[in-house]
Amino acid sequence: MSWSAHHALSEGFAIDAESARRQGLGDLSEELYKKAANEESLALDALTDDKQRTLGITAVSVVALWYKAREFVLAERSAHRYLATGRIPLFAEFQLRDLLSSIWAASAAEKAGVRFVPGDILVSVQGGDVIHGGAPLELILQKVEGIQSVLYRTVEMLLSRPFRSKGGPPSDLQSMFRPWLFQAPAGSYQFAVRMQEPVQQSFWQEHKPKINTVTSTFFEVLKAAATSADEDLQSVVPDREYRGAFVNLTRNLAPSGKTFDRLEIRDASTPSQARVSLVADTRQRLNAALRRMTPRDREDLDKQEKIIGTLRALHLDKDWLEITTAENQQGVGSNVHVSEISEVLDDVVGPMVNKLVVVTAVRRGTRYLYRDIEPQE
Amino acid sequence: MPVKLNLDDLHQRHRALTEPLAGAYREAAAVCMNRHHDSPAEMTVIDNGTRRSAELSWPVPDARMLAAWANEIDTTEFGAYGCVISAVELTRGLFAIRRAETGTGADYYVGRQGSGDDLEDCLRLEVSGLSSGPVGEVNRRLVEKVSQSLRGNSSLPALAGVVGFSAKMIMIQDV
Repeated sequence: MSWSAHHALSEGFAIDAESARRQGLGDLSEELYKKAANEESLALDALTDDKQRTLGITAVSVVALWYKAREFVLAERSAHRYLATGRIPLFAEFQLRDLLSSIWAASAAEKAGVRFVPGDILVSVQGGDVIHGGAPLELILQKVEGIQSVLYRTVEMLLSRPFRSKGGPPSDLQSMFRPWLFQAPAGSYQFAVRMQEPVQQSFWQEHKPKINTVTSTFFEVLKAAATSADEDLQSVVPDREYRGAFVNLTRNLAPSGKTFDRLEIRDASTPSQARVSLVADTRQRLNAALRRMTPRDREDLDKQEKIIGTLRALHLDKDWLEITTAENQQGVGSNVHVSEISEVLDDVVGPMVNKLVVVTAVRRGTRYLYRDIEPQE
Repeated sequence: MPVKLNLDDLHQRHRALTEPLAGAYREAAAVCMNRHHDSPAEMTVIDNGTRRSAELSWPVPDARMLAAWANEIDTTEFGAYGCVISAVELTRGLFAIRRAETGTGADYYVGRQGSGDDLEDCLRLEVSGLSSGPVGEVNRRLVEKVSQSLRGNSSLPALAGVVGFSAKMIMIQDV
């Protein structure tokens, strides 16, 4: 049989496998992917060396199919074998190396017995200082922390936990649900996040349906916050306090346009479509939404001042924070004490400690009263 | 008579599509278009900067179809494949003749009718879709697709196609 005949059979199996996966028929999907991989391997064997482009595309396809069939050993062996031939064109070499990193991550997780809730979150940061495959470490650390905060808030909301106004996520959730960071094929700069399932399955069995929707709810929440923080978000997040937290956390993920231009969040199973796209305009829209959520009278708005500086000290229980502003000509920065910060949330302000921030406050006599805080890139 | 973008019986002309998949693309495109417009609608198709109009008609989705395509992301993705494949057929006389898997999905390869015994002369098709958003956003997505394609597969000739369902626009460009 020719390449064409084997490849046609492989295409058919792969289309059916994808359809089964979308219907939640995981076992059937994997079986069909195996059949597709077998046929694609035979198609590759039928090729002559002069068909360079076909050779490269088919080799990638074979490895991808074994990977999707969760046959990680076969996928890895195939990738190494094709790379070792030296016959593979450059574009396919790049793709095979990307695939190998995905295979190793998935294989390691499987060997460790780690299971994840359905869905992979792919986060890409683009523009500004970000280059292909690289980005300022501090920027990425902030965004990883931000994604983690939204994930934990999503779990808490789904499990109907009381709104957390102080402290980090409850310890039982932290020990049972652990977000994992994976490397992803280099986009501008990309990373992937997956949420580990609780280890003690029996203890969480009653919540299983909700746990399975953590990732999809995460996408819905961020999308609604980014596009329509007033209306759509209300239907996804009925609780007002949770809504406020999500809008705050989404704003912290959005760029101001100085260090980077865009943050996109995708479902790794459909990476060509950005589920959420955050740009500088999004930050402005979220600022406006936050102002609408906490209405102030005209006089208060007129008296608001912006203080830019480093968030040097913070005491949420005692209701204050302190900003050190930029040094003056004598090399001395001034400390500004801001009080009445009761509405500030740990996971919103925590990542900003020792970072540049913009605090909006109202001056009353010698005191500054808190109104808002956001990171300054 | 305006030319037509033909979503009907795609599998009979495009050998990379099975009948169920072609039907799914057509249904999804119908749901996406129906969100913003009545059938038929005049689409603007821009291929490498050359603009033309084409009529797109679709069956009005019933409640069952709308329920089946409730996931907006999947629907936009499937609808985009249907519309871009039809547009490439219309403007270039090219057909989706093969499909090959990648780590995160699958790529279509387009070529002349009857080709496809190998992929040596085929173009890889990069497809994207936007459910809502103005014309400028469709253009921005196309630029992004082209640059992604150049970065990821520099030695593979490709076509990028983006459909904006609300903007009634399909843009195609060589990579």
